[in-house]
Amino acid sequence: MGMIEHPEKTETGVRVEWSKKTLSVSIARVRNSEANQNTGVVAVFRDVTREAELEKMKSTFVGVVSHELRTPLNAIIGYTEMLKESIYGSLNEKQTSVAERIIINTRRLLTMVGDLLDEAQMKAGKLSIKKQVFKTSSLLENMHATMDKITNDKGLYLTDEFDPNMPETIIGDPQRLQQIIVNLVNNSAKFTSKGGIHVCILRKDTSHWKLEVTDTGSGIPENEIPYIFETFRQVENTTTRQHGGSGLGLSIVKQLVELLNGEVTVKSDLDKGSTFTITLPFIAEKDM
Amino acid sequence: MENLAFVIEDDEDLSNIFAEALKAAGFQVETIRDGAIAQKRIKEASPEIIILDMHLPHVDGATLLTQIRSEEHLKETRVLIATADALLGDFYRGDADSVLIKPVSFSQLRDLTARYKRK
Repeated sequence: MGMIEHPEKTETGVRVEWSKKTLSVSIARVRNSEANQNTGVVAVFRDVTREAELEKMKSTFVGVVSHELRTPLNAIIGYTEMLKESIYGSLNEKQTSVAERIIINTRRLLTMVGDLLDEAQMKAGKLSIKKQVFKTSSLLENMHATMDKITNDKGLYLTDEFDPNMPETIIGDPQRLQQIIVNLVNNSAKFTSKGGIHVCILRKDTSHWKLEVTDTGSGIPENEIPYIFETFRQVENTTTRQHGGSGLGLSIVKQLVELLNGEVTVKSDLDKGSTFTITLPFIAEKDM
Repeated sequence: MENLAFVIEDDEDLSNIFAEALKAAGFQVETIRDGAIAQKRIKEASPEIIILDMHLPHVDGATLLTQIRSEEHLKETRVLIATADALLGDFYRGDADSVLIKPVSFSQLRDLTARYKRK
């Protein structure tokens, strides 16, 4: 009697392009257990042409949407800046303030478009993680470049600390790590009205490092903590409008951290503030 | 022509905005919206500065960049790449004088290019 051997070890999900068709192939050995010998191979071909087309369309769609949505938003920001900079004549105080509001809101929309696209790509498993050598402290420098204005405008401090035991350079995806920091600081800034935000990069042990974002904000009720990383979630729905944003920031953080093989934890005291801790493995050069 | 700048960008709005920023920085600006025309114009003229979009019809930005870098009469020309793709931007950082990640702020572009102006 023939048995398909070790189904868990079979080769599955291999895609082949055959003329205009895309086929998926699964292969397993057929074994005669009584005679203790291999009697053949079974191969299952499945026509997945339509599925493959849809996947391709979806990723093209995301790419096109990304470009088509961002371009006009960039144009709106540019033209408004021109007005604000008095290229076509000077504006009065009220007009300048309106121009500033247009810029702030358009930038917000641009961030939301970016968040939605990241979310869509992650859900589709399309977001790729790079591994490259980069200067560890650049994460903090770039954070200040993006976030200082936002925290300053709210009257909050944004301070940082860099553990001298951290390696000067590490291997990782600097853009994605930057996105994690910016999203966390943005989240803290939204829920902090006095005091500020402190960001630390430190070595945890020989194989891990940590990124900590601590704020003096409103804190998160204990029963809500399990839900804050869910897509489109903000504690108390009413605050969504008050705090703006896509509600995707923390969900993106969690998904990115998981893609980077790390973990995120949060400690919070109501009315005192929250600390988000990301623990990530050091990547060895041989694993690049 | 003194203080000549090329804006090579296919999007009409971004081209307008970049051009205004360069004018505000004191340049004489020529806007080009097609890669093939850009290829012809960089052979004829010696702009001080070129703002280069990477996605262009007919001839792409990467090809133009290679050509600019190989032309003797353009060896003093500053090339600023404008792209929305930060990863692509990193890739060209070595060849370009500066990489601008879109959205490019009008005031930043004006101030940056003003620093590059020869006189």
